[in-house]
Amino acid sequence: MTFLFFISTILLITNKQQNAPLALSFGVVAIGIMFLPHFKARRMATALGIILVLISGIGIYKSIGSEIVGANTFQTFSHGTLLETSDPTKKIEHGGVDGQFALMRNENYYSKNYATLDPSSKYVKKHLMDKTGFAWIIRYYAGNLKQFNNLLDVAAKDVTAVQPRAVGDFVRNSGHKPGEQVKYFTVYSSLLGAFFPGKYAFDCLLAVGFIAVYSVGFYLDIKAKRYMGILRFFLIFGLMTVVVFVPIVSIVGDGDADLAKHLFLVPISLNMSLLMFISDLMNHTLWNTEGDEVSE
Amino acid sequence: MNKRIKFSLVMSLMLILFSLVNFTHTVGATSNNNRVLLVYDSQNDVKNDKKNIDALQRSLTSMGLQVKTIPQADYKKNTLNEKYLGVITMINWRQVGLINQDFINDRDKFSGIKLYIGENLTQTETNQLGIKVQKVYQQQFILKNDTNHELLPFSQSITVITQQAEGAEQVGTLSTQQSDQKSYPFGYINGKQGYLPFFTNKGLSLIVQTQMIAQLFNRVGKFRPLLTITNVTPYTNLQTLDELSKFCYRMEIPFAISTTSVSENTEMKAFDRFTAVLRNIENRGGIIFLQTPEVSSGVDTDGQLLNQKFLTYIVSLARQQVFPVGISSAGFWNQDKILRNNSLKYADHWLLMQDGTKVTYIDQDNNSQVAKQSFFAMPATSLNNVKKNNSTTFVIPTALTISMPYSQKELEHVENEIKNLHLSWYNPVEEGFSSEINTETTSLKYNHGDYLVNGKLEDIRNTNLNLNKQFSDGKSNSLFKNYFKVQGNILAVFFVIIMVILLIFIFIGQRVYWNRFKR
Repeated sequence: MTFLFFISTILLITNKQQNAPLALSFGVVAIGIMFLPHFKARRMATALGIILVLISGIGIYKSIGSEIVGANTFQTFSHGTLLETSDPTKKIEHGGVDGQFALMRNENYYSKNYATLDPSSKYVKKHLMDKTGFAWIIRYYAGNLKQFNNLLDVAAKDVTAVQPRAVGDFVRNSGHKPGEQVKYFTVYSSLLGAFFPGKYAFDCLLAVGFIAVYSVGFYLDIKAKRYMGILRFFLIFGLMTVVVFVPIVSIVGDGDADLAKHLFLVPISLNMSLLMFISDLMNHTLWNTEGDEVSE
Repeated sequence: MNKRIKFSLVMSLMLILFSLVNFTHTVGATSNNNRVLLVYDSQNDVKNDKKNIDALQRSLTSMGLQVKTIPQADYKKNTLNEKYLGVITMINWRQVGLINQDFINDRDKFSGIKLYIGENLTQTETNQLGIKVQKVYQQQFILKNDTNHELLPFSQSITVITQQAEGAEQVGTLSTQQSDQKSYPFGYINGKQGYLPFFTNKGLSLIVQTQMIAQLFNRVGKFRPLLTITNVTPYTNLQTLDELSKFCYRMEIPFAISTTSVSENTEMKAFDRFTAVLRNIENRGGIIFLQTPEVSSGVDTDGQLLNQKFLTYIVSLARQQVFPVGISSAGFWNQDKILRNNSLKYADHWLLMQDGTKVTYIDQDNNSQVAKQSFFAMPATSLNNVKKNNSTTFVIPTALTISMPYSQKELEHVENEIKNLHLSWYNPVEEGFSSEINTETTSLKYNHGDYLVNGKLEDIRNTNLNLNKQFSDGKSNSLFKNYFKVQGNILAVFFVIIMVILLIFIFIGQRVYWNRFKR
């Protein structure tokens, strides 16, 4: 079982480069496995598994091609640092980048029709992209926390989109029209999209709430030497790290470009946690996992 | 009194009539058979020799000739007829050569101007040209023209004229490097027939070639070169651009810049700053060509997006008192129906530059049009080995381009480059440069240094020369900022007080609750 967990985790992470940050979250989830009983010999194996998961995350991150790195570096600038502020000219100038590049706001790396200056040109690379590395972006957002918070709120509005509207749900050869979507859970998805508060702070509160609720079970189970609550706590904790950190990574990594796509795992994590929470409530196992020990 | 009015009425009527006649006359002159058919054998993508075709097309456009370009494979019988003023055959890839028999027949019958460029002349061609030719292999020639000479690149084979017809003209001379120094004519004109052994896109060869073609088509003019700074964008180092324009102003060099613009974010400070520098350029005697953007994809099939972009460019620039006098683009924009009609067509002055590495057509029709005047752009460095002096002129309107420098060091380099060119530059004010850009909403006119917007003379406001000072952050909204800050603090304090009261209530409530059980 544990073996299967690690294999599927690594498969999930290495499936797409943007899944790299998930390695950390699943590393957290896997800590729970260490608390399984009669498990001393395999504890080492679990530790090894965690390390493997982390390495696969780093590996997939490193495998991102230079072309895509260029696109990401550019778009995190044009679709990130330049957004949600009235006039970024002076702001980016404080960061040592020519303020004129503020005019690139909302421009895509692969321009759809016409470009004033091709973002893949040498000039842009030399005078803009060589300067706005990862460290620059972090420093910029650290100096403009309010703007960063606004951007996270933009991301939070997409957090409920289990069903990104821009892309179809079918594979190319399935005979469906391009862009056609399945109809399951459409009502749920749109309801959630309409009523879920689009604030990043709310997502964080929710995460803290979930963790707090499940940490009670965690505490009780540690005392009672049961493992179910512990396992569950780390699962929730891992999913909540997805909810909290993936928006940050997306904004820092690629701005609001393809945001819904990058955030896709956030609504998945949220909904899974919610499902677990509801089932725990209905089975009265939220703080009392006693019944579970029998079944295992 | 009455007589006087009548007289003035008659006079003005006559004037109107005269101007009408004059107008139709000029229109007639441009539309009257200035069409040229260019048939080439191959683009020769391997050696990237389509640049030669591009250079030829642009130079013909600058001569005011409309060029219809056809690869020989697509040539249909009777395409070449009396509607054309002339025909140009271009052998771009010796190994391919001319094989379309329909074209060869039509051309033999054609009675207009004929120009043959390259090797593999047919017998009829040589007869009509009245020459004897010889193929020379593995040679390096020197091209001489007046006092200039240029060492040509080593050529595998070249067809030279060994015997000329009587009364034929010769433009430039080719001579071998050996001790016995044979020399042959380079450009050769015999009445309506012309021959060039090759066409390249740079250096002295290019100048001699254009001179020869202009002579053949009887389009020889006398133009001083226009100094043009290219690759200017809104992302350019504006400090450098401003200093460069200041340098030209101090040196009394009239100049032009070719700049792109943006259609979005024009409310930003960065755009104000960009236009402020462009205004400075206008005030320092520089003229501005609006450069077309880069075509990233061919999705804009009806040109709507491009059209919209251009309208926005012009309106947003004009609002900041930046008035382009013409439109500049890479040569291929004139070979594309959609691109041309939605950009170049707005202006009556063009500046056509060499095609870059990226050429994306939307609806290529190879049917280039002409403007009132179009400048043929070539890099100033391509004339490095050509002798120049104050009286150097070109036969077609020519723009010598210098790429926009970035750093201070590059700027100094460019300044030296300009100083060392020792040319007498084209001066738009002195030479009565008068241009128009007309869009659906805006009409911009330039006339002898005056700018007119929708018919009204504009006085371009001077901008503070110290860019940094001018654009420092104003503190105009600090009053409200403070207000909101204070308000925020008051709210925070308010909530803290409420929290404390609530906590006290909870504490009290808890005690009350517990006390009930204690009793």
